Amino acid sequence: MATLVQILAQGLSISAVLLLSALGLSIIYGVMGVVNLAHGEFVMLGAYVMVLLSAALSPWGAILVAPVVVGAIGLLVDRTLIRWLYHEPVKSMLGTFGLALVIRQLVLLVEGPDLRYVGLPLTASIPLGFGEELPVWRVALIGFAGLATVIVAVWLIRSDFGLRVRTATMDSEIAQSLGINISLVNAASFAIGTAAAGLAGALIAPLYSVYPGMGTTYLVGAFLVVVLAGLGDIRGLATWAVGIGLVTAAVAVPANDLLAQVVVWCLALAIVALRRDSLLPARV
Amino acid sequence: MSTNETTRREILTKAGGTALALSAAGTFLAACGTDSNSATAGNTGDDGDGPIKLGVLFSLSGVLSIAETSMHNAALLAIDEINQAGGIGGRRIEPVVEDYASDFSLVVQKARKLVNEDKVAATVGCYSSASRKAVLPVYEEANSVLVYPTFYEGLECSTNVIYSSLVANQHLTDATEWMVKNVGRRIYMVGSNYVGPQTYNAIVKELAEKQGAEIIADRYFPLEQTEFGSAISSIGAAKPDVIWCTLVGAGIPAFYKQYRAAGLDPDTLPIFSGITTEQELAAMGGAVAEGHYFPSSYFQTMDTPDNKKFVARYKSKYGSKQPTNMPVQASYNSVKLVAAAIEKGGEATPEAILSAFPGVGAKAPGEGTVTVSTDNHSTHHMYLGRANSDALYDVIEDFGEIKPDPFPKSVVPASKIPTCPRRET
Repeated sequence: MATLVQILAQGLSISAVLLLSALGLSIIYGVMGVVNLAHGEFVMLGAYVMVLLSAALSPWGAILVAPVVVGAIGLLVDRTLIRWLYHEPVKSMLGTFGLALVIRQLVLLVEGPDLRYVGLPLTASIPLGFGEELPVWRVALIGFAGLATVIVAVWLIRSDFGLRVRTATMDSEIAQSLGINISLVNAASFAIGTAAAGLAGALIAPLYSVYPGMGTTYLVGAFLVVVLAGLGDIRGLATWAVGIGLVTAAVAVPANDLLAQVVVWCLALAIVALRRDSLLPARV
Repeated sequence: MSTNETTRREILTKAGGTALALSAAGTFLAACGTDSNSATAGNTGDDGDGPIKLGVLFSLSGVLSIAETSMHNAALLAIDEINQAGGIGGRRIEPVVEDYASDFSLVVQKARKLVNEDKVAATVGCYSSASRKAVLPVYEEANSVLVYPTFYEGLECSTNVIYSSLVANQHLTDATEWMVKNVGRRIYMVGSNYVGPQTYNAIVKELAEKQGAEIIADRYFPLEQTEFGSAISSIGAAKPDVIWCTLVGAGIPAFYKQYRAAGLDPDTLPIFSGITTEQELAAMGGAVAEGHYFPSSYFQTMDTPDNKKFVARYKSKYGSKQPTNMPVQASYNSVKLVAAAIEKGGEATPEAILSAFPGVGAKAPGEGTVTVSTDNHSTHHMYLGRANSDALYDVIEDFGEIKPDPFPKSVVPASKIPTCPRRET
């Protein structure tokens, strides 16, 4: 019983981080066919906003500002670089790989290579019984991940703009002929995708390590979820993030994290091998 | 880098995987990048005049730059000070700075350039054992000198490397005994999954079990991992007396933060680390750090006049938020040791420096005199630190001076202990 509660708590906590970092990656691929290898760097930028502003603004202020700042940087990057790479998966990978290096080195030059300090906005922990405690911030991460996913899904399904986004996703030329401003849809989607990454970074920073190279870790996790859910499928993201989190914890709690990684990636490999078609962009 | 990382990347979509592998290639091209080119073994034709060239070889970008940038800074500070005081016998030291960007094949190229093109008198550099092992053939072939300024696991004594910081026996023996005697007998071990931490843990296990302690778990993590919830959960359930931790790199602040956030209290269950210096404490903050332990030959708080001056000079040059730590002090002192060896040998050539080195000493800030021994390692004064609420270590125990033993009998069978120094490649 104790082990089961541990697995559930740790598993959902891992899922939350996966889901938060995968959300933006999925939007950007789904809408504009751009495989954003700089996604981890936008997560890192969000974490640095948290580092630099949480003392001045309060941690909660920094969490609100991070997606705005990172989304604005995303918009700028979209207008200057990404728009030349729409629906060109291979070119977009090379372009965003270069972009990732540029962002990482700029942060290194400006902020230095050091590991950075961010305090926990909420320091309490919740007793799970049998002497085990779960940090409140982990519970908060689970809540924020769920909330962010619901907001994005509702926005895509219910809003006018969401309808235009989905139309553009299905066929951008037809959408354009119907009077939809594709350029606006794309720019907004990239900004929203990077803003989601920025939010993820700000939320993750208090419990994890902040340094210029941190993005790669989150890019790898995000890719796993997005690939399993089918590139572009927001609804599948939550399911797969929870699945991966629970499997990881089910091995890591009783055994260890090295074995957990082996199990998760072998399972992922098997699933991808059995359903090759899901790598293509599905519906949004 | 662990093999798990490679596996991860192979599984990504063909496209994503390829590009990711590109991004990782720099760090993966591991120690296999050995020296196959015919490097000219010509040494410096030192004219006994003009500036003395000293190689400074660290990573200023990539994952290792977290630790190595500060070591690079410390080496340059020492060079500045020597030059301001009139140089070595009137000759200035000219630093030749190379950045190997945390890349274990680039480090070989950079070392070759320093040794064969720049013809430096000596090099201060490298941090991880992987980078030191990668450049060993370069220094041995050209009969040049590498001063390796950080603590390491031992089992090596190259003719061309001066190991100027701690080797495992100095770092771990008294600390383990103190830990078992004063904190508890049930030890839970965690570490990063590669040779350095595993060797450290094996040595601590051997030492602790001799004291009657019990190792209740020995858990390893991929080097880049920053999610420790599952391990911390199982630590809580295992009810140990103490955690022995050899996590390396970026995961350290994440581990301590998640540990404290899960309600684990250092007053009743402290972490003893072989790795965590003031630099990582600064990133986790005093509230998380307070109460955890680290054995070391140097702490920023050491209350000696020379250390106060050293800390003040370092901070005024590199920023008040930059803590000093053991690798920083060792890197600084390595330059001083090279200067002392050149003064003793009377010549700034690698051969003269190498033959002068045994017996050379330099007064290291806070610690006292560090002397190079005949096996190319060095004697150190050891202390135990306990972290305080300012995210610094207070010195709580003085273990005295300890001689290096790179091949300890507890780990190496008597027949396998070599005569030191020896050629390693």
